[in-house]
Amino acid sequence: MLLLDMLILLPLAFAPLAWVSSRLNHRWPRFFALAGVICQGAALAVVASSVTSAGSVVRGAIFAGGSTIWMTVMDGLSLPFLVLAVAIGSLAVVASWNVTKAPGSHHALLLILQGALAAVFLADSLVLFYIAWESVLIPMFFLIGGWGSSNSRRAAMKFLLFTFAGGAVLLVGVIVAIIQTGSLLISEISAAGGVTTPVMVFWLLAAGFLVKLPVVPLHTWLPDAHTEAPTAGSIVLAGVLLKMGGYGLIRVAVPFAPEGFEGARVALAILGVVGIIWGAATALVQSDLKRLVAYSSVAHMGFVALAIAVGTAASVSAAVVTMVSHGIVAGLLFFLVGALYERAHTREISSFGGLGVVAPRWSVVFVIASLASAGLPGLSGFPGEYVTLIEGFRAFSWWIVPAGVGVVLAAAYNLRAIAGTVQGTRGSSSGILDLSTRETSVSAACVVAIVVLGVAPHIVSSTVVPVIISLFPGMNGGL
Amino acid sequence: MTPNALFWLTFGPYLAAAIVSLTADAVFRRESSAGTISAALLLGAGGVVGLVGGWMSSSGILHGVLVVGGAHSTVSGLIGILAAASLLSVSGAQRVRLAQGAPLVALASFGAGLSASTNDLVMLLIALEIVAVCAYALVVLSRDKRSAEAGLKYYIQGAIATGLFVLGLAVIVPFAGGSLTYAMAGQVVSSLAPATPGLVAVLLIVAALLLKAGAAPFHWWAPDVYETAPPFASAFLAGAVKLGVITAVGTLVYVGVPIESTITLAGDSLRGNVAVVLAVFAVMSIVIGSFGALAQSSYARMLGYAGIAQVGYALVALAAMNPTASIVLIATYAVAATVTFSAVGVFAVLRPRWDGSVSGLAGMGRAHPVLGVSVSLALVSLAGIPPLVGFWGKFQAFGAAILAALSLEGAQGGLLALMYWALIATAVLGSIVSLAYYGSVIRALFFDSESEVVIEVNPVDNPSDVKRATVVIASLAALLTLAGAMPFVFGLAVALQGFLLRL
Repeated sequence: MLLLDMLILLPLAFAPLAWVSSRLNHRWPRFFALAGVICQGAALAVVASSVTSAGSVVRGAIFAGGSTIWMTVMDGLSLPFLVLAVAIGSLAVVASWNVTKAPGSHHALLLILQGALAAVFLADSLVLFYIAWESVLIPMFFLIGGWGSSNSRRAAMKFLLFTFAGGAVLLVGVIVAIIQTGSLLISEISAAGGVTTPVMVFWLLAAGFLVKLPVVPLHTWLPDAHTEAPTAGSIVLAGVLLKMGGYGLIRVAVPFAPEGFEGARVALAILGVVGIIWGAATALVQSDLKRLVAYSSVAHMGFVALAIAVGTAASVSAAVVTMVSHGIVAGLLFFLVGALYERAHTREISSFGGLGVVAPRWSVVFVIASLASAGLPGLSGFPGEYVTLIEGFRAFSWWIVPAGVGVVLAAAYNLRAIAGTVQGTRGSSSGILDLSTRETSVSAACVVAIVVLGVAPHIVSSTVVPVIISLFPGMNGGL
Repeated sequence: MTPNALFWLTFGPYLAAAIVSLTADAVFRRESSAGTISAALLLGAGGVVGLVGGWMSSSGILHGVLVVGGAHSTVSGLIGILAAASLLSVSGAQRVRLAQGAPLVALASFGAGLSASTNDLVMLLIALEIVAVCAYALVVLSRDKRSAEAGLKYYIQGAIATGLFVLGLAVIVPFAGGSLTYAMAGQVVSSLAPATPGLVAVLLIVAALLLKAGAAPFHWWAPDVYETAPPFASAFLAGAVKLGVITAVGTLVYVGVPIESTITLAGDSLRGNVAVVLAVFAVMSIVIGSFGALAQSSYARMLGYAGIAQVGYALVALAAMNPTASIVLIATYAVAATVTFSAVGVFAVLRPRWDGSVSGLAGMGRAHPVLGVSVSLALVSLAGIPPLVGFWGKFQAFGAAILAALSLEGAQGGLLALMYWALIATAVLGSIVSLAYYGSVIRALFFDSESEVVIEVNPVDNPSDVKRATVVIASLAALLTLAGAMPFVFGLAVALQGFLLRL
């Protein structure tokens, strides 16, 4: 279907328009950006209708004749990530609605990012996957460095070097996989049972994915990048970029090297649990609200690593649910923190207080997002992490308890954030304006998504599970 | 097109360019750019013929010593195009030197193209001497003390290289029966018993060629030369000339090193020995080039060291006995290097008080977005980040080494496989480090703000030659982007077709 390739090409086509239009009017780029994301969403809606039935796939068709590099495919596993990418992309555009510094370049970079991200989740050719994976780097590097806060240049370089280092190792893994299997297609290699040296290939591939996810100790780029990035950058980083790591593990690393994965499960689980506790404990002591959200990402992504390590159909689909949930929740939280920073020009938790009275709409959304992040039943954060813990107990028995401690810590840091901002006495925050209509409406859409995903997580897991069962060999799929 | 026609339609214009610009230098005033422009047009025209002809691959051997078609013509064509670009990208004060520079660049293009299009060692020596003589003169065109020093270094090292080459030939000549083609030389070397003299000959010739290419540990001249020569000359020497030399080495390895059923480290396996020699040079070049570049504050010097590392990556592919991959890599490097070195001249005009340092470029990209974006694209391509064309070079080179490592089995092969894995690890490390120094330039161009008041030439009263230089640089950057997208549309096989060695 040609429309599938349009998911990648449409945002890329709008990027130069956004850039050029800024020469005429500085307001136009944001409309082009929004139009680009909406067109991408519309194309996705059309394509998605043919994927929702279990087990069906849609293949791209644009260069179908001669090329072996540009091969795209969409199945039940790509779909949730693509929906997330489009949703987060529109949130990012709205968050940067009033950007004044070079809006043309800013929105063009956002659109390039959208195209590259879509390519990551759509690629069936391993080479295209790697190209898309690396193409995300440069626009994000420019977004962080060009529009970030005071220390952003260092953070941008750190982001670039860490993720590129992971990517260089990933490239070796990709080439080894191509040479050993003689195929370029991810689906073919998975179906053929993967490579001949699974342990080496698994760790080569995983190195790239784990840096992006990230797991402790490869996470140190994340707090800096998230904190220093402009709001739109933080939203896309936390909302979609981190999910590339989890997607890569599920789509590429595990099916390519099943035996390697078997041997690596314990190590992966330990990395996950360490991430959960490290991220949560570090978030607990942050004084900067944005940094707090950044470290909470490390904890949530630890859950994703743990869920993948458990390796049952239920736990891996829980990993996807956690990723989608965290994408929306963290995206929303960065959006809210960004909105607050725009008004108060500070992110110190101690300088806020009493926002519940001053900015009630902001407060309601913030409380819901924080509670979702803390894993309150009924909100999107709960089902994924809950299933992970249950399945984890079945796989690793009592060794899973430390992860449970992480859940308690998550409640602690989120409640602390709520207490420090929404509750308390009105400090210097009395003059802060509440969310505008534009901001309220996108926040409300996110809240709806959080509640729906919390109540009915099967809308994600039901499309994902059939694919996961086919990707994880030896999995009986007992749900 | 017959091989004969293809050869002369490529190389004829190069010679004509040399003659035309030499005549123009004698007839017109110094400031006139008529000679340069016509030379550039001739070089570009010949280059396009070569490039297209290389892809069409009407290949053949000419007069026993010349080869046309495939990589030989593609590279010869690319050399002409890059030479034309470096001549057209000249702006400001360099222009005075240009009238004398143009014939040298044209003649050196002829030599460099010839070195890529021959299968004979004597012919190669002659071609490289043509390049060398022009290159010495180009380096000292700046006419200051530092460039004189660099020129002298270059000259001495070049003389040593020639000496080594001739010495290596001397071992082979008595056994070669009058013919010194690569194939004959390979036969002679691998049939010599005992094997030691043959290996010494190989080592001497390889060392001589790598000296010309600026690989470590024969790199001492390179950073000095690239920093002090006029920017258009650095661009030409770092890009086009290096491309010619590496293609020559690639052809020599492809033809001269006979295919053996198993590569081993045993003393009489020519293939194994050549692989080890090249691997050692590759590791040294990557390590010295990468960390040397990291330590530099001067933009051009940093690029000089980075070029050493890039030759190292090409040697990784060569050590894996995959010349095509090494030529692809060095071709992508050559285009990007022409952009980055040509930009030095434009930077100097736009910011007269620029001290040549990377930090001195602060804010340049924001003030001159087209130039800044073009240079950034070239740097990203050099770092091998997709979807730019530099990625395909890196992909091919890494792939060659990994294929070599994976295909080796057994006890003897195990050691060799280990060597290839070490090569791969070094290349990965080097490419990570490379992003640190390439990224620091992008960071300076776009993120940093000028610390002091810099006198910036107002874009409105940019002299026309700066505009022309910017257009040339931007077109090369567009070429990097489009060539990078080519495999998407046509597939990798078609994209690489022009770089196949045909003999």
